[in-house]
Amino acid sequence: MSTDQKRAVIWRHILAGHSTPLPDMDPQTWKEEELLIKGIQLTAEQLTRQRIAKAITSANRQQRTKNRRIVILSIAAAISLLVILIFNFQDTTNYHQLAIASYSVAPTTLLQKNNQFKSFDKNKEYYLKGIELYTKKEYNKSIVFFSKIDKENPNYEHARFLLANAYIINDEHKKAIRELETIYAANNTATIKWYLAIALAFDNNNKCLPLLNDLSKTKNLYQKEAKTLIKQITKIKNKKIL
Amino acid sequence: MRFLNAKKLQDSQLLEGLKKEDPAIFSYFYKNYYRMIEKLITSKGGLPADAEDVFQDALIILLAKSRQPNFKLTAKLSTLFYAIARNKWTNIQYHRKKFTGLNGQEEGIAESPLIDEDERLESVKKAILQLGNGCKNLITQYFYQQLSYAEIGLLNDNSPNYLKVKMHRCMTKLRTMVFLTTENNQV
Repeated sequence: MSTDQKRAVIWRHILAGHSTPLPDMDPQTWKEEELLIKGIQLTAEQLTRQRIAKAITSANRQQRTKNRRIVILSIAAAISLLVILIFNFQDTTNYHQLAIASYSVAPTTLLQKNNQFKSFDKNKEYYLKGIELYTKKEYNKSIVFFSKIDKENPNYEHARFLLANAYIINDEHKKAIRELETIYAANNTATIKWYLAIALAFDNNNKCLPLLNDLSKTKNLYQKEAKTLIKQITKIKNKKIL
Repeated sequence: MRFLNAKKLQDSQLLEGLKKEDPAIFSYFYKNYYRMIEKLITSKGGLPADAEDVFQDALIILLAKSRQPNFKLTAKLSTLFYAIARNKWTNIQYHRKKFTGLNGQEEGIAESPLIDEDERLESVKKAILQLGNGCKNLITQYFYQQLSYAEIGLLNDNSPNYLKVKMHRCMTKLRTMVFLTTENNQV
């Protein structure tokens, strides 16, 4: 048997898991070959460990990228949600938009009573001047004169109604609501109800809904407009829920 | 790699990939079994850093086992991997306790022969790394992956007889290089 063959037998014996040489094997050669094989195996194992470590690093990197993507997506989702919320919030201003679409300035003849002013009454002067300016669409100035009329004056209710309309045009919705609520407390006609509902809608106030509901259920001048307005408001509300 | 992440692999596929040291399979093991090993180690008093070591050791042991000719998977691969990791950790804990108890006396006694063997193994390692790729691959496949000449021949498109001759040449070269390195170190 040649030396190479002898060595090959030793290799096979070692690889089979034996830790001692057979009697016919040279102990010195066994020792040398055992050391070489151990060295080969350890070196190869070390290289495998490096490969594993590299794969783990790569997997970790992938995980980090995935996590980063999740964070980015979460931020994008949060931003989208915020945009939707803002959009919905802005939708409430559509009450205002709807009110603009539904509102038409009350004519001076509306709710007008017979002139109950005495001759040379200052209130009469204010009232007439106010109406004159209101007719000329100088609403800002008409507010000054309507406000000066005595509240006890029987014509004050009409003046107050026009004053409320002037306030609406002047974008002073809260003041308009206050005036219309006062009139409504004493005289809850469909006209006052309608204008009060409109003033509330201008102010994005949900209190306009019961008034509009009332108007839509009974036969009156504003029934059709009230129904349309409710339909539009419901549409906005449903959109907000979505 | 992307494909492997999305798919649940069969144990046989994992073993095949493991034998080939496929990096995608290593990643698969890490992604699917690392948490399990970490939980095991930390529940038994270890640290996350220990879990990393045990994971790697267990993978090496599994790899060696899978290369044994008589290896047969009788349970789920994850179960086997878990058992290997548990045994490895028990072993580590045993050695840690033993050496802590002896205050390093044992290390002192065994020092000289161990260092001598370590030095010689280091020489072998250096020599292997200096070998050409052909020899390096052949001796690794034969002695580490424990493939037969016929199997290596199929992988490299060579005849077993040619590989036998080449193996003896490579080993002679390695032996010479180890001898030279040892000589240099002694000088």
